[in-house]
Amino acid sequence: MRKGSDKPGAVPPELVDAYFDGELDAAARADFHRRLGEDLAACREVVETRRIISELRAPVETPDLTPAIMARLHRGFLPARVRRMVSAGRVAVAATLLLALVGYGLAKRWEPAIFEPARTNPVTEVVRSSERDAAAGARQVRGVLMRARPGEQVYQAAALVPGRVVVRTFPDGAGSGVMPGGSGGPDAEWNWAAAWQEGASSAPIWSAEWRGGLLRLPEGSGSAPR
Amino acid sequence: MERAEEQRLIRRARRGDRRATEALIREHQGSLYAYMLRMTGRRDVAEEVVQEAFVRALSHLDRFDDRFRFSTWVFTIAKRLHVNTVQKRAPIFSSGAAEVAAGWSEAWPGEASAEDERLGRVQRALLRLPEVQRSVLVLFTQLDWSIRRIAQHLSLPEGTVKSHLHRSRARVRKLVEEAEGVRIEEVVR
Repeated sequence: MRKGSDKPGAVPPELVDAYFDGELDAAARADFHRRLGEDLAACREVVETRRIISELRAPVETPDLTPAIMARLHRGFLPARVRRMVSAGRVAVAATLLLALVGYGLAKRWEPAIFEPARTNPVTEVVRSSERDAAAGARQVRGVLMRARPGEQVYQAAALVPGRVVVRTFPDGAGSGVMPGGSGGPDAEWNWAAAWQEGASSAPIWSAEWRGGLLRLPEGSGSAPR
Repeated sequence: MERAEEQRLIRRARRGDRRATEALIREHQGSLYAYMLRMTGRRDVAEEVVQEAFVRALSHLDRFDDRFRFSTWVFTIAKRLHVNTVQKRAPIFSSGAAEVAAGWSEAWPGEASAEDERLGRVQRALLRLPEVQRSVLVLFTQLDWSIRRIAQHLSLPEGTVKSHLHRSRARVRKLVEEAEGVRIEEVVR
């Protein structure tokens, strides 16, 4: 605060601010000028502030930056329509890549064999061929068993498959070859059957349960029913 | 420039009209450069910020909101660039009371030199104001922006802008007096 601004008749600093803010009308400005004549300190302040404002308002020598800006713009400048096209192109490329990625993932899940490298090892080919034959035999036996009725000789069905699959029923004696039924009834605990590749002793390649008079074949093979 | 004329130029510039783009630059570069020169005290920095602000504004004209003036938009971009520049570089003069209190010299050795000589005493005082006060004083005094427009530009209440304006005027006056050792009586006489 200016010294002496609290004296009677002194111009209050707020009035000086209002004057420089342009908030005084013509009459108020005339009154302000009159009061300045009676307040030397305020008058000094106004004179000095005017001088500063005058220096601040002095024109600044401005270089023409247009060529430099245009040159920079020209390097990366594209009309809005072209920019939109470029943006749309980017979106299309991104969408295509995404679709390709999703397609690859799904195909790999559903048909993994497509992506497996070709195996030329003859031993592997022999094993695979054997596995294919066994699977085909199992499918045939399965078909026969689907039509089998309790008490029928399942060995007959197995015999239809030329020597590759052995069908057993449990627990009525392994390899009994007789489909469950009769005294055991369809709900007896031994009402299930399985098939193994001949000579193999590990997990079955196919298994099924006998329920409600029908042989229920679960999807896939290789697991014994619980 | 009338608002309608400015909007016509912007529409043409959006379509890639070179002349319209140049017209927008020529219309606003003077005030923006003057503002940035006062804010930075350095011609090279002012030029750099002005160029970059125009490049960014004109490259993204499709994002420009027609409810505002182009000058407000380009000044806002320049303000942000200036803040970033200040954070990266040391200014010629310290701009806050804390820096002065910490004993930083008025002129920075090796950087102020020639440019400092060209700067007036008011400019030197200006550069010692806090950023926001300097901005308010320059926009109001040099560029004739209204209190309301400055408030919108700086995202401050109008009362706060007025307060900054009054403080900055008083502070610059005091700094100039101190720097010159002015005897007010002589000025009045």
